[in-house]
Amino acid sequence: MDWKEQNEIITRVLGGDRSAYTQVVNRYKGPIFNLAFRMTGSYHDADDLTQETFLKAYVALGKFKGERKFFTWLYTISLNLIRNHLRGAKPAPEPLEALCSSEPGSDFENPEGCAIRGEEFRLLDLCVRKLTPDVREAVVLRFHQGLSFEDIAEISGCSLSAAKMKVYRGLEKLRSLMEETTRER
Amino acid sequence: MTKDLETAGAGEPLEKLMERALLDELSPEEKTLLERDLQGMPGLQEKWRELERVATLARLTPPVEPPADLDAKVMARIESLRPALWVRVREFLLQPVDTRIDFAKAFSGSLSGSECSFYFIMAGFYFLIVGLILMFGLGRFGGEWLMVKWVRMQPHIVLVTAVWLVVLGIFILRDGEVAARVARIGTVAFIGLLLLDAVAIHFTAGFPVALVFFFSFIGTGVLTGLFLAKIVWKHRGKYAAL
Repeated sequence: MDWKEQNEIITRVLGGDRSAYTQVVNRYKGPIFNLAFRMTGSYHDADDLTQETFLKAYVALGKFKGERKFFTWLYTISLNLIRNHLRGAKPAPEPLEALCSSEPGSDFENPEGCAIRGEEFRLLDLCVRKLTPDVREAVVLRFHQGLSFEDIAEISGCSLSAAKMKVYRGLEKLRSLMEETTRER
Repeated sequence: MTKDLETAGAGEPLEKLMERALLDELSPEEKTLLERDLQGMPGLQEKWRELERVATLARLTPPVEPPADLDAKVMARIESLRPALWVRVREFLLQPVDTRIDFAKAFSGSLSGSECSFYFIMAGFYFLIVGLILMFGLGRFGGEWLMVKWVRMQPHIVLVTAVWLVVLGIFILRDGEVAARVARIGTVAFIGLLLLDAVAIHFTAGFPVALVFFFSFIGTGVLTGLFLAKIVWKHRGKYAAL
């Protein structure tokens, strides 16, 4: 979905064509759901938060300024909801079984590779959830979502250098957490 | 090491360079140089490898599939949303409205319920104005004829007529068979009652006074009634079985 197409869809939605919003949901549901899932560790909460994100974005669509990237605007809404959720939520120690299921042609099709990698991913995810929320969101946005530091800074509402610092601190913390957890096992 | 790092434009401590490399700020050549320099420092090299492994692992983490019915759930919730009151008011006020009034249309072709209703409500509005004028202005005329009870009741009769026409107009908005039937009967009753009123004034207050009322509202009322009857007939044309 390019910028022009996206603006056309937004114009249609604002003009009263609610069904056009399906295209927005379809395009961004994956990244938004994954962001919520990595941040909360709960499939159920991620489902709820993703729905809330799209609902809130729909209601606030009239306030969206064209000069900003749509996805960073959407991510900001999502992140604010996730932050609010995390303030009041208990940690969800949900096993991430869904991880080893996807992508034809990847290592995960091989059961042995999947088992080894799957264990590593589980360990990583466990450690990601131990990070403080602000560092966790920087790590997730950078590595899981593959966003640029400029976008991360815009979404998180911090400076570029702060975004970079959080990502690096996150990596260092993850390294030590993974080491500790492996040793404990 | 120092020579190579300086060549790489760094001149920075290795740890700082490692940070920059992990933040994708180094070119592939600079990264190769860094890795070569790290070979002489086992502690830092180990840290570098682990950090890079964590970053790679995070990048390779496969995405989780959202629930299959996520789109449907979102759209269902959006469909059930009711816009805020101010949004609805704004939409109502800003929606395009055809404000052309084509009286000729009343005599040609069929009319919709809303068009028919418009004429009835406008006629009701006209009688409302006349009724208010009579109510506040009749006493200024003076004269014996004002002692006649039926004459003194005229402003009230006109106001009731106004309400009657507005109610009919609203009822016609239903644009159905029953509305057409009621409008037809109501219009005939309206004309009949106006004529009876004229007769009643004539017999209670005398000919000249009856003439005044005839010109003030009974005459115009009958003409309006005939116009409305024509409109109702056109509207009724849509319901041939009536």
